[in-house]
Amino acid sequence: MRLRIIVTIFCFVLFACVDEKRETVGSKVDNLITEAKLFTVAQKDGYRVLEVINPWDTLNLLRRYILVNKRDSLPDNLPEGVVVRTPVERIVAYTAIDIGSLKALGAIDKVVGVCEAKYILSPFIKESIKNGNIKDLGSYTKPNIEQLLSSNADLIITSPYRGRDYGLIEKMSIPIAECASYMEQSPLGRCEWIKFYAEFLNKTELGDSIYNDISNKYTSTVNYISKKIETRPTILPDKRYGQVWYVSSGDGYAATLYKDAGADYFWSKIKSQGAIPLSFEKVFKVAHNADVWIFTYTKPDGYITLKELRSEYESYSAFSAFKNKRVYGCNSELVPYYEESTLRPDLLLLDLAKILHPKLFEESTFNYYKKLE
Amino acid sequence: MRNKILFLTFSIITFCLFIANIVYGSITIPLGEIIDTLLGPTSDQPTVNSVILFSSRMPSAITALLAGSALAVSGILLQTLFGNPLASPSILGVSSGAGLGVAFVMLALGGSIANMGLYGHLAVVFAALVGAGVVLGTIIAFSTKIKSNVMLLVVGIMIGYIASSAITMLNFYAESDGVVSFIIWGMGDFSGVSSDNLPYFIGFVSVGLIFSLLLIKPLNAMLLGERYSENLGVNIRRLRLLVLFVTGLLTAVVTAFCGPISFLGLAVPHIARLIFRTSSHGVLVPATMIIGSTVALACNLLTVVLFDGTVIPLNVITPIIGAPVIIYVIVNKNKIAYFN
Repeated sequence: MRLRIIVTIFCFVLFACVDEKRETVGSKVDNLITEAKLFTVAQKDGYRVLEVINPWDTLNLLRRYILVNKRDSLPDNLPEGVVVRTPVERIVAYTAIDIGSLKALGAIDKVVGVCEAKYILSPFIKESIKNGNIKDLGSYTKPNIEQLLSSNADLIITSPYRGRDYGLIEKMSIPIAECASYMEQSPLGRCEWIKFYAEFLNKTELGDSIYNDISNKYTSTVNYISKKIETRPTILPDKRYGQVWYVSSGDGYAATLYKDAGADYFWSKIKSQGAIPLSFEKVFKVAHNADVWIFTYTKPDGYITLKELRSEYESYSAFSAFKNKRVYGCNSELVPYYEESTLRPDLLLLDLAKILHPKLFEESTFNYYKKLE
Repeated sequence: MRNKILFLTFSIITFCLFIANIVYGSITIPLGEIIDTLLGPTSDQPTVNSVILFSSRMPSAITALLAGSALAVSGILLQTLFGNPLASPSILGVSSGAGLGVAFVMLALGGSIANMGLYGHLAVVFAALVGAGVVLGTIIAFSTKIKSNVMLLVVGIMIGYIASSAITMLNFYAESDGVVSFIIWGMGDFSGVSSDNLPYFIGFVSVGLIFSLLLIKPLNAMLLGERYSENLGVNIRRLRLLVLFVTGLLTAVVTAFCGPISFLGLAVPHIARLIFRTSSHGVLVPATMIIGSTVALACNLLTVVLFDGTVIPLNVITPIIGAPVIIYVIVNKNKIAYFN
């Protein structure tokens, strides 16, 4: 009896705690978000509530934003959260992904500072950094605080990671928008974060229409592929980093893309949080007969060739895809892969579809990948 | 007689470990299939087993065999030259110098070695040689002013810090891909030398090892002290230059191809002295070579067999083997014959 009482009390306390932790204001009201699992939006009386769920502890919120239009006065009794007066006018963007999304929303001219400038290919941003209109704040893990302060930003958009401490920036009273799109497990889920950016710009409708357009294109390509294909070619992703070859888990973003593109993915049954580290031997044993091989790389002065790939690691040439010249690389220094691909899974899917089923997609051109010569 | 038995024993252990490096990997290949594959191809097309054995395990085992010898010999040469049991390529900053050269190619010139092909690999080796050479050159320059070998060791450590500071600076301004490549290179890896590059690696290391064997006689004289050896006709200045050149070459080549492998250069000479109980370089230099190979092959084997399916970094293993040896040597300094 005593045990039952203790268990009952324990359960009560446990559920009471959980309820208190994830006291979401957003998701209960609106159902504006369909694919993304890590943020919700809700319209309230005189303000909007944007909630970002903690990707590493989904029972908790990472941050809640209370978005109040600049034209309106602040309502009374606002829920707890970061109050942001919208539309924001001066944005500091920490990653290339943010630049791609802001560009799509027609708000690239609102950018006043960027981190990791070397990964941004946008000519507008490059030119603006050169002529001093946009500040280069350096590394996104440790941006230059003085430069950031002098940018007079009214919003910092950043990419959170587990246990991230913003230090002084947190105390500067500039709202920090934590965009956790990269933690979404589905391509359309990542794409839907365009709506997150749109909320800060009072461009909800534009965000919705961009997402709907991309989502429709993506879905119609998936349907077309599933109707037309007779076989599913096998796909080998990435390459060695030192002694380790990381492959995506079977329930991750990349695996979903491969499946949607009509591929047979070797590690589709392995569920894991994050990439799976394997030895060359393990990968070769399983995937030596893979039909196609894809990877991203960086090379400032052109595209990698099969010869260069072979000299990088001789055993690469033993893969069937290498012998059959069905190796495709994406040089992220020359194409805006990081800027665009999160927002444009439809284009990424088309690339993969063309790689896997070249006859079905003869007409389309590559957006990010290029066949190795 | 005792030494002959020990040499024979270590030769057998090294041979067995070499075979174990070929037989055991992160996937299981039945022994019968391994023998079939090694005895000759059954078809013109390479099989999965032949690729794994000839292009992955074999180059990795040969690299471990030679890299272990090279680092261990560098360690003993430097310990004798500086008259200090804690001298080694990493302590003296030679590894840091080689690392700086590699960092310059990988970080400052953009991208990883991965995208630079064979010439990229050779560029890295050349840069490592230049880096190690600059550090050694500086130590040599100071050696004309500083007579004390202990003080010269301290100068080496200081130069190592300066090289590390330059590496940190390069890392800070580098692109993340370059930083990742450099960090991974820093973890150590005997499997990075492909069969295409293996002849270069074997050639460079062999030259260094042969030179080190030629230094046995003057090094023995050095054990008596610099003045005594000078009286015996040893040209100390030339010997210093030769030792620094040989250690620079061996360290730079191994560091460029395999990353900065920690502890082998420091620990193996002590293992050799403890086992062979002699300070004669006629015994110690070949003993250090063979034990260096044994330890490196054992470490390489552990990187693949400890965790199923993946390979753990080499520098996770080497300190676990090396550090206890050094601690034992320091704690038992008064009891160990070769210090007295």
